[in-house]
Amino acid sequence: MNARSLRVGGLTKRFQLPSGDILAVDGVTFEVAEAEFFTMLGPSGCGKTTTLRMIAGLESPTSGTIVFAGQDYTRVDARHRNIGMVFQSYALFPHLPIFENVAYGLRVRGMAADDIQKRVTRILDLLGLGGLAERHPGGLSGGQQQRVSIARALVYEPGMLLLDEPLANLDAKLRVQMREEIRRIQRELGIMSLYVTHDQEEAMSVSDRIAVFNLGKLRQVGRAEEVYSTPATPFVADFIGKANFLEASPLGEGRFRLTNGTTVKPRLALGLPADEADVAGFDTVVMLRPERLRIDTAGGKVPCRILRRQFLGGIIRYSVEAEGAKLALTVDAPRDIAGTGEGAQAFLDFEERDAIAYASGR
Amino acid sequence: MTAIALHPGAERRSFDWIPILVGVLTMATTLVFLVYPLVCAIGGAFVPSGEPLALENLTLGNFERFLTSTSYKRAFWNSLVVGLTATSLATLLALPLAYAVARVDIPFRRAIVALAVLPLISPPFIGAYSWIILLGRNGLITRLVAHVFDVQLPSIYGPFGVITALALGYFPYVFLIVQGALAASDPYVEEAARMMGASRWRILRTITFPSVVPAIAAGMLIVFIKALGDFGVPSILGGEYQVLPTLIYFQIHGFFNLNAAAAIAMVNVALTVGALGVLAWVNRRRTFATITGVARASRRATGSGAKLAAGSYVAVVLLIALLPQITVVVSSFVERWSGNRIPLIWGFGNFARVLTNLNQPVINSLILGGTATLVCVVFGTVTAYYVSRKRFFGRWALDLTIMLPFVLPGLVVGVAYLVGFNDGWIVLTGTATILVLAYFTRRAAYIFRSVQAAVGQIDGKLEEASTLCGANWATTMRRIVVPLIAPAILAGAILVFATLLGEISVTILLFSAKWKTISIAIYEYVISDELHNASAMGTVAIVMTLVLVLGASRLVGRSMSEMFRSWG
Repeated sequence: MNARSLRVGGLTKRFQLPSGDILAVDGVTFEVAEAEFFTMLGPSGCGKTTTLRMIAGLESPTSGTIVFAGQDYTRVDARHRNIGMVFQSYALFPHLPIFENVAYGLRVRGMAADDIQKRVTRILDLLGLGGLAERHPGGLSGGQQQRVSIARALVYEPGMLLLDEPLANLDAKLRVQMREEIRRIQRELGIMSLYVTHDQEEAMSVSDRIAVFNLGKLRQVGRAEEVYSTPATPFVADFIGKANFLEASPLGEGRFRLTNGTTVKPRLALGLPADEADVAGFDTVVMLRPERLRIDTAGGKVPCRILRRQFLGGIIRYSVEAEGAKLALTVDAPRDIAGTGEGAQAFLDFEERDAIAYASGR
Repeated sequence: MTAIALHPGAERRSFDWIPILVGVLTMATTLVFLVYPLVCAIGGAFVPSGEPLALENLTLGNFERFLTSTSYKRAFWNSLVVGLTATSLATLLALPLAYAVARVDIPFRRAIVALAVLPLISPPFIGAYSWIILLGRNGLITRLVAHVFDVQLPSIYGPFGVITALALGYFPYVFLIVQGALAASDPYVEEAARMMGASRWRILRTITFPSVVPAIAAGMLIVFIKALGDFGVPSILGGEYQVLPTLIYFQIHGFFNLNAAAAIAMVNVALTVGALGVLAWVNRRRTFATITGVARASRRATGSGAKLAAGSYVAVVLLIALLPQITVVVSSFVERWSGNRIPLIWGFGNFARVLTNLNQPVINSLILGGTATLVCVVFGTVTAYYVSRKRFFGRWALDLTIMLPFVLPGLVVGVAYLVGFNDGWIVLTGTATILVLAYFTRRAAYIFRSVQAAVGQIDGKLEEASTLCGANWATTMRRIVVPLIAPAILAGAILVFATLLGEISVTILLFSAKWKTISIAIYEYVISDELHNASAMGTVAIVMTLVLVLGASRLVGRSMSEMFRSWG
């Protein structure tokens, strides 16, 4: 990490409510590099937005530190942080024309009028808003309003850009288009960006790194490939992509027995004690991605019954009940296999290196 | 890329003292100008006249008269009778009107709703004396009937006149609230009932009516409270028929017996609180929320028979309700009305006389109303903003300030101010300040509600966005918040000012010779039977309020009726 990085250490936020305290953010620690696109991902109420708002200075942390470019930001007023923020609701000033909305941060900084003119025009052009300067926000489409909101956050060249679910109010097609555009602009300006979303596909498609949150805690940070292929916890595995869990009991030496008796040796075993002697008696699960499972009528590791078969074009999705496992599994197969209609008996098969075992904690 | 130099060195977050200041200010204002005089008045009610407030002086003597004195007993029952009958009459007038406007496809519906607000804007006592012009001993209709049919009409003075004038003056509250509820109710519910085979009458009885019962109750409560606290109408039309407010006035004006007045005021308030309790009970028994927020308007009947019937009813009710205002304006142009049916000499003489000899009341009203409006704007805006945006510890004080004046009739506030500020720590009686402060306590809620609604419409993220752009609190207020709520502030201010022009129930107790207002001038003209002068002055007041309120509604893009509806 370099000098202009953001370091968040032990960040905690406790909300005091009449109904009791809520630990919204619980000891979150991470670092973001200069020019990095960093996404905070998680279900609603996981603490990602609160973390973002503490970095913005809109909430004050209960404890922990926020250091940006070597300077302690923890108690600095939001307006002195030189941060650009894009809100889910865009938060455009409805009484000001687009030009004035974008120029706002520059006027506050007391910049000369012709410099403002130049900068605003440049950023509006960058976002393809050239002809809209005189219009009011009310007359713009959702996508255009979002661009204005981004322009307003970038025009004063902030140290970092924060985006709080910026695409949530757009329709599906526009969402894909806008996220590519946000990524393009972010690369072009080389600005550190912190992006909050609950959409894992969105997170994986644009981010340099993803931070997965759950119940106020940061569960895993990594590149999309890392997080997908080696999820740190069953929650992360389930949240990023689809995951199947088979109950298993540990046998030691990295081996696990499934409920139907089959023994497997997964690539990794996470959350288990390092000492082999303590492993026995732990409840564990073996996680498998749907596309790593194969259905075979001749034979395989786990016998199963096919409950549902959906033809989805590129893939065929099976819901199966593994005998003994009593779990609904999803299998994504590239092509149809004879004798695998609904109700048919078949076998599940997989490579041991595609499986990861977790202490299930259930 | 180079960051623009913003603030050299990161500055510490400064202590947020504004919410505390607002809290302290709100509490101090409430304590000094509302709680203190009220406590004084309550204390005074338990002390014999002329005695200081002390433990050994405590007595129930002032209340005893409600058991012993005939005039007290009469006034109490009269108040109850007037309040209940005026409320019932107003409701009977308003419900068909509300249904006709909301559910029958009659023409000019917007205009009808706007016209129905007029009686609320011009003070009801202006309507009261126009009934004298029409139906008094020498009234236009009285004489016409006497001439044509040789029949002497019964006197307008007494309960009949008071109840009629109050009902016609306040029925729009029921109308506006119920019409709003009927127009907004989910049409699918009624359609579902029809699909199940219910007849139109059955739907009205079992679906439509129960769904607007809370609205009806709310409207009736407002009428009841207003009728119970009204001073102008019974004092002009009551004659010998006394109600609690006129009894209070009598005790103060006749004997300057503040302690007796305070006791009567407490009884008056007790009746109001009782009515509030009934409303709460009605609403608790019928707790159903509107399940959907359907954008679709409710269905309106389009049959020509229904349209004709509804249209005629609406026309007749509106004509009767607006007759007082029309009469006042017409009679203000009459210079002499000697002898027969038709006024003989028309002209601007009344205006010339009133405005040249007595322009002082107009100036006084402008000064007092204007100052009070300004105070309301500052207090109402700041508190409304902070209630919507921040938590601060003076909440209860604020709720009190907003709710209490609604429950307290003007005359009661007047009594409290007389008792509280006549001697002791703060002496204000006879000054302009006491009027301004009394107006302020009675009207701050209007600005508060108007601004609170406006702030509620603004996404709080706007202010956060402004802060992140680097703006300080003052800049955010000046460039973002104030421009966005300005129309609401202005509209509230205009409504406060307009309604203060006709304010009489507080003014009548607190004014001094130097600070006579338009409403007092009109009242004195009426009492001394100079009706044409009163009409000229009344026309000035009606036209001023009308222009102001129309301006306000244009400003916020909301109709007058919506503004009045939101007061309930």
